[in-house]
Parts: sequence; structure tokens; C-alpha cells
Amino acid sequence: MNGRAQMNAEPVIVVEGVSKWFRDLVALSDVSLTIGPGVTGLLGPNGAGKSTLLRVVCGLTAPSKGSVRVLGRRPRVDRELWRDLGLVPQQEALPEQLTALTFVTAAARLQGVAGAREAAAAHLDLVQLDPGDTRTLRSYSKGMRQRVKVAAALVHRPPVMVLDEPLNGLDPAQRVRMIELFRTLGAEGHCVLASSHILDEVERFGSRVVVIAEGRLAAEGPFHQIRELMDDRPHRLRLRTDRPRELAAALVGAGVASGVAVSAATNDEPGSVVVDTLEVAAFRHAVAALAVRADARLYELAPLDDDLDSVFRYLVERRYR
Amino acid sequence: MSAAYSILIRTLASRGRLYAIGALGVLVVLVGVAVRTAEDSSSADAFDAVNAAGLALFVPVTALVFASAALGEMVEDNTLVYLWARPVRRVELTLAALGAALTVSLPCVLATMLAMSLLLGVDAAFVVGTLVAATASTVAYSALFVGFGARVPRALVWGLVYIAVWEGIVASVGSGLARTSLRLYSESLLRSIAGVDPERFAVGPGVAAIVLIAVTAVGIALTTVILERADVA
Repeated sequence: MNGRAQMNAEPVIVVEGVSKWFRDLVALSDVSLTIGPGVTGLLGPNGAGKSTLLRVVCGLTAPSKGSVRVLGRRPRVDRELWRDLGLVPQQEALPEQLTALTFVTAAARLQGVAGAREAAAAHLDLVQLDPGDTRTLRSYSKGMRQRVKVAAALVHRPPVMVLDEPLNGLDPAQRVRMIELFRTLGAEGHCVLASSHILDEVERFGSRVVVIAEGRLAAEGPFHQIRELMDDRPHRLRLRTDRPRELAAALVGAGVASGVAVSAATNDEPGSVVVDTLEVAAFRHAVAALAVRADARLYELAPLDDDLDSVFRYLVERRYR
Repeated sequence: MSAAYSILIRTLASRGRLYAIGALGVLVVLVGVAVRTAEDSSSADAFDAVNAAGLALFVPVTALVFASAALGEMVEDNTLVYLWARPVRRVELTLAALGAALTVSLPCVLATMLAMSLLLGVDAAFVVGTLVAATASTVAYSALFVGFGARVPRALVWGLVYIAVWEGIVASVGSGLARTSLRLYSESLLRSIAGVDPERFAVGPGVAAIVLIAVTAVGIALTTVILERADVA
């Protein structure tokens, strides 16, 4: 059965209870998810297990526990699955002695593409590289290498594409074009699974997101839902002020802080209030008026946990609480 | 298979490797010159020279340098994925790697051994025996070293240790243990074709050929299994 036809009937990628460990290091822990046609962003901080998950999905490494099916087949043992699967691996390395055209043509031949050279030239063109470039890949920049890898992965037009950090090294204009390409492929019915550790990138990939953190599935669903989860979590902020006690009392009294920790002002430095709040928008809205009412001067309002790692940690804790 | 071969051959034929093997080849040929110009040299000395400098040193080292790098270099620099992640039978990748290694190593081996055996000036049978033995052992060593390179980090270093200890020392001590070295079988081929008296542990040409073919087949099979079970980065 043709891979594309099969995609309409069932999930394209099914991951069931997959764990992967390397000696003492647990890279993936009991991950289960399904992925269908369209673009799915795989989001997570560096070291979260994204690449390991993608390698397991492609059969490059066997799961220590659990199972993976791609188009209903087992990627680790079914070599023929590669006719329907394209991979952009994370590593930058390419065979240095080849030209881009030679490399992508070889990829097309290995995939059994008729008119391999023409297909390779067309796909290099698609990623805006010159098929006639006689330089070897050794002289290519990181962004050019990344585009060569994408051309080699797409050259047989597989129904399933697994892309590990495909935008690494690309300049902003190239990123926009590459995202547009992925979205077009997704709209055509291809299943595109693309990883990134950058939230804004994943937002632009498409509507569905899978979040991985600390080797575990932290969240999955439409991007706006994940975004809401991230925004609605408890936030911790630090206020610098000359009257920390008064301001802390006002914040608690107004019900916009669920917890406060006060550091008194010294001769050299203003005091600070570390605030926990469940409603960050209401807090931000109220804090200036409350400061005026408490006769406190505000020097700084800074989020303490707005980095993605904190967000991911929160999502993991929330899911497994 | 030809697409995999075309990638592998370009990766293998680096200037550094060719210069290193070329330099070693020149040394081997100079050994032949030295033996020939020695005052009391005999055909037995010529045989010893081909055996020691050629079959025990140059042939396995050349096979090691190219065959261990055929897949090993791609494993080390994480580019094996571009061959592995394709709908290609693993045995085809093995044969492509072996073919690429032999494409580079065999001309080096044959040119050097031909020059050496001609310079030693024994007879035509000696030259033919040298070339047959060198070809057969290059193929067998290469088949082993392709998989060795794909599986073992720093395969070149460990391969040199193997060549020095096993193919060098163990094969020379003249015990039954010598039969576990490939060198004994290539040496036996050379003896039988060149008409040199067999030593105690030498085997007949039929047995030697069968063993070398079997080692080649085992090497190909092992490499294929290694590729099938590989954790690819």
C-alpha cells in the first residue's frame, strides 16, 4: 500500500511506552504519542531527549523499552520503510569531498529515484542552492549544509519527514522560506515532524506541538493550547523597591500574590519582594497602582522563571503530579 | 550499490592515506632492491623478502588503512546515516565498502608487489605467485577490516597491533597457532605457485584458497550484521 494513502486511515507515527537509556543515563522515559499528517513541532530544551526520540522513531537506535510504528511498520527492522521516510539528522557533518549535487544525486539513487540527477538539481534549487556549484561540501557554511541535508531528505518526496533541528544555522530569511516549505509539505498531506528548542520557531511550524522535557512527554496538542498552559502556570517575579514590606502587604491584600518573600532595603541597595502569582496578567496590571498606594518606589520588575527551561520543568511537573 | 560506492570511494581516496601507503610501498620495493643486490642472495631470500615485507607487512597494513576507514570514518564523523537511512540492503552497503576499499588498496598492493617481485628477479612463477597471494590476502584482510573499522573505535591502531602481534609474531613462531593467521595461507599460495619448498605448517593451495575465501565471506557476513545492529548517530 502506498504510504500516503495509508496516512489517511491511521496515525502516521505511533510511539508506545518508549524508554531509552544509555547505561545510567535515561534519555527517554515512557513516552507515548501519535502523530498524523501535517506539520508537528517537537519542542524541548537542549538535552531533553528530542534527538533520541527522533532517532528511535527512525529506527537509528532501538528503544530500550516500548515500540514504535511508522506507517504501521517497525522502523528498526523494516529497511524498505526508508522509501517513505526522509530524515534530516542533527549533525552538521556531510561527506566533505562531494559537491552538493553529487551528494543529493547519490541520495536520490539510493532511494531509487528515476532521473536522480535532475531530481537532485531540482531539490537543491528548492532550497535555494546552486546545483552547478563545483565547490565541495567542505567549503559550505552551516546554513548551506543544513539546506543540502534538507534537499537530500526530500529528494524522494517521502510521505513522512523527520527533521532534527532543521533550522539550525539558517539566517532569518532562509528560516522563513524553510518554514514555508515545511508548511506546504504539511498542507499537501505529508507528515512532517520537526524538532526545535526555540518556541517561536515551533509556533511557526504549524498548529500541533509535542513538548519533551527531561526525557518525558511534557505536553502535546495544538500550539495555542500549549501556549496557554505556559502562560497560565504560576509565575515568580522579583520587584525591587524602597518599601518592600509595605508593597508585599499591598500585593497580598489585593489578592494578586499567592506568596511573597521580602528582603529589606540596605543603605546600598533597595529591598526586594519575590512574588509568586497564579495570574501574571492581573498582577502586572495591578502592581503599579498598588505601589503608588503603598507609597513605594518601584525600581525593577523582573520575571525569575520566564526561561524556557522553567516552562518545560513546570509542564513536566504538572503532567506527572 | 553504485551510489553508495561512489560516496565511499571519494571518502577513502584521501591524499594522506595514498601518500602514507605510497611511502611504505617505496620502502618495500627498496627491501627488494637490497635483497637483490646482496652478494649471496638466493631464491629463498627472495621468498623471505616477499613474505616478510610484502605479505606480512605491506599487504595487511594497506588493507587495514583503506578497509577500516571505508565505513569506520563515516561512523566516526557521523555521516554513516546518509547511507544507512536508505532502503538499501545492508549486505549491499558492505559490498560497496569492500569494493571501494579494494579499488584503492589493490592497485597499491599489486603495483608494489609486482615491482618487488620483478626486482628480486627469480622467475615468472614467483611473480605470478606473489601477485596471486597478495591479491587473495588483500581481499581477505579487507573483508575483515571493513567490519572491524565499523565496530571498533581507533580501528587503525588496534589493527596495527593485530598485524604486528598475530600476523607478525604468532605466524612466525612455527607452531600450529600459525594456522590461525591469514598470512600462513597467502604464504602457502605463494609457495605452491612459485614452487618453493613448503615449511612444516604450510597448507596446500586448495586449502589456502578455501580458507581465504571463507574468511572473506565471514568478514562480509559479520560486517552486514554489524550494520544491521548498528546504533546510527
